[in-house]
Amino acid sequence: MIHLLLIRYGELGLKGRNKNVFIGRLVDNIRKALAHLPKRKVYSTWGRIWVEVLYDDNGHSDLEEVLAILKQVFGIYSISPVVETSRDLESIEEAALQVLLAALPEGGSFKVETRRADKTFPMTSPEISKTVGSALFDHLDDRYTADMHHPQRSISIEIRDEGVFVSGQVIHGAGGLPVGCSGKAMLLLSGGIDSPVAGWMAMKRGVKIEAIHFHSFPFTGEKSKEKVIDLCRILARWHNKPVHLHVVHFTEIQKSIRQNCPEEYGITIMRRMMFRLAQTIAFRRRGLALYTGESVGQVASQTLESMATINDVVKIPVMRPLVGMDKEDIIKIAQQIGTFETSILPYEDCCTLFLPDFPKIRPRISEANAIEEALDIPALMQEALEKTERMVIR
Amino acid sequence: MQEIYFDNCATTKVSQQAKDAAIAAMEESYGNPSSLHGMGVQAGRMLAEARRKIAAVLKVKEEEIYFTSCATEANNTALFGVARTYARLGKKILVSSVEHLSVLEPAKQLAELGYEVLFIPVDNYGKVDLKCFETMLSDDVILVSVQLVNNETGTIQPVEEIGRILKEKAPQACFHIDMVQGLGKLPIELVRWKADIVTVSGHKIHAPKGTGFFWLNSTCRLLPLIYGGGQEKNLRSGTQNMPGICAMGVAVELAEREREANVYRMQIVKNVLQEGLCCRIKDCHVNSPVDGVPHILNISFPGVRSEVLMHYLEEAGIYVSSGSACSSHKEKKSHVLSAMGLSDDVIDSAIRFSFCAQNTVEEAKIAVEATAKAVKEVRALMGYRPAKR
Repeated sequence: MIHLLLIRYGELGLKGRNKNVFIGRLVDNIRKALAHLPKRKVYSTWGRIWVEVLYDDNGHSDLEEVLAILKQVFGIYSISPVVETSRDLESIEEAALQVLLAALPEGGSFKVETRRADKTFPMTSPEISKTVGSALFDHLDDRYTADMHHPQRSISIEIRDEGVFVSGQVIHGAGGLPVGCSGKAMLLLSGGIDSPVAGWMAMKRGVKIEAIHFHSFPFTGEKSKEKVIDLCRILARWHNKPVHLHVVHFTEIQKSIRQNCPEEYGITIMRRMMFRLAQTIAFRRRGLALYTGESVGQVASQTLESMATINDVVKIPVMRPLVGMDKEDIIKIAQQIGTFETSILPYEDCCTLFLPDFPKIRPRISEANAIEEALDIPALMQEALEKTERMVIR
Repeated sequence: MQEIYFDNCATTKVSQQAKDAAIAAMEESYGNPSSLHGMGVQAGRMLAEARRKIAAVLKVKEEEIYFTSCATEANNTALFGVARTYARLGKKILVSSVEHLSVLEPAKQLAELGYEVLFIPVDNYGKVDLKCFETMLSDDVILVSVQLVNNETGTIQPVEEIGRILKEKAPQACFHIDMVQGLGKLPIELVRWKADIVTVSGHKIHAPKGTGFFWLNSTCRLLPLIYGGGQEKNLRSGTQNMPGICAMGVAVELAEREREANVYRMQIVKNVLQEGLCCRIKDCHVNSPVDGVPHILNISFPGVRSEVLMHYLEEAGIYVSSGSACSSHKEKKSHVLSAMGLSDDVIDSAIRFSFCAQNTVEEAKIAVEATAKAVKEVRALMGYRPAKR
């Protein structure tokens, strides 16, 4: 019977004095991610984190459910299901057999490793490994072999004051850093394939996110807003807590740009307005940076000239985690993290609707500045922000 | 804000009478009509009553009515059922190219299964081309499926002529008519049309969703789609949706009884709307034929994408349907308007207004103003210049 999950947090170990802060954050995130399940112990000791597995009255555990959630917690390097047993050799052998049969049901090569933190145990570590290993073979058929160098599975036995822990499986975690240990940033979320991936990459490095979506009703419908909410719901799983979504009323700005600016500069000016609004929201919400799904050269608004012209209107740092990636790589991640299916649903976003036939591929900052003189930017921004709706998506 | 619901082809509001019938079925006669005890018998009586009401409207025998969960299921049953039952006579199936997807998709599946499926072309108003149809008939045709009324444009198909030609040239074939948009709007003449199967949905005529039925001529046989307890004379197993069916029985009866008065009301609303729009808005294109049904007006305002106009009207509390899906995804273009040979700017801007008897002239006038305002604004914003025609 698996009683515990042992959680290792690779990269965190390197963080010196801040280590405890990081571990505290990770424990907290694990607790929040599991908050909707029955209450259980989650604690850190001996340089690892332990999560209890619960059983119902019929003896069914919630192991699979907990594992699925933990795989979406950043900061976890790997997870091992652990059997806890008492400190006599017979129980250890029994537990080791159980673990081995679960880890290698079809047979294969394995070895037994022992760590003895409690040196009062009467045998040495190699002695324990050897004794348990040979005892195992009494119960196994010839599909099982011992391999000291390249085993398919290692059965590890850890002997401590508190008890003996046996595990035989290492499951990869999401890696990265616990969300929230690197500050907060605003994610520009369009509803396409790229921006959710950018948000995921922000979270992977421990950044807490709030999403900003620019909504141009009636040019875009309720359904496109629903789509962004659905994306936030998926991101919230990786966030380990609810995601705040700011839906900015962008209609009047779209109209004003369309009426007052040359068509070829429409997208450039639109993106500049989005950055300005996002920066203002970031300052209000204590966000330290903007994250976008831009990648150099994908579309007209993502040439270096465009990025420079758009970026010129804000002083907040703009992070573009996808900048060096190919579309296929981005799609692969989107599929892994579960946003792809939602992203490709066909609802118009404001970018496609107002796309000019010939957008300016190499806009200039001076030209953009001159064009924007036709717009009453403070008034437009104020109106958009006043009509901004904030939602908490869980 | 007053809400104006002009999307009655998508679905309708459940009428008070239908609601009362459904509640009675839930509160009083909640037994299973297949049960042998008193509660079951009582439910069985209500089921028979609904069947009788529907049979009377269709002027057919009540044992020829079969209840389903919706018209999509009924259409699937018709297509797959006929194809499987009559495969030994031939493998040719004809469907009009403007059918609802619940006919077209099963037809495509049958094509994958080895049937020869042909699509009957239509003219500029979406009407089946009879000459072409006649040439497509042969002695191995087992099924012809043509709708009574097109759900996007309101075009009425010449089912009487189709039935006559079919029974002359290919008497072995079954004739299926999808009547979803026709019941309650047109007189039902199954004998004159020489129909063998007709399918109907409840929620288009003020019954709740999740209800439908088909009529099967007793000279025809069908293999079922769903097997189980043998309800509906083995053609549709599964415990009957009693509240839905009782409501639908009342709704069908009501739709037919009030048909002439309703048609008169809807025609006036449609006329006011159509004339208003054509007067107020330059360069518009009416896609519905002059001799179409009174409850559907499909109209295009080139330069204004359907979805944008739909959302504009939504903002004014007016609910309509965009004739085609997002045109940034070209493959999702309306197959009906494409089959009619309309140009892309007409298809991309098609809007469908669809009415019920509760809509008023006042609502039509409000919709004219709101539409004119929205079209003007969007066209100005998008720099629309009318194409030379």
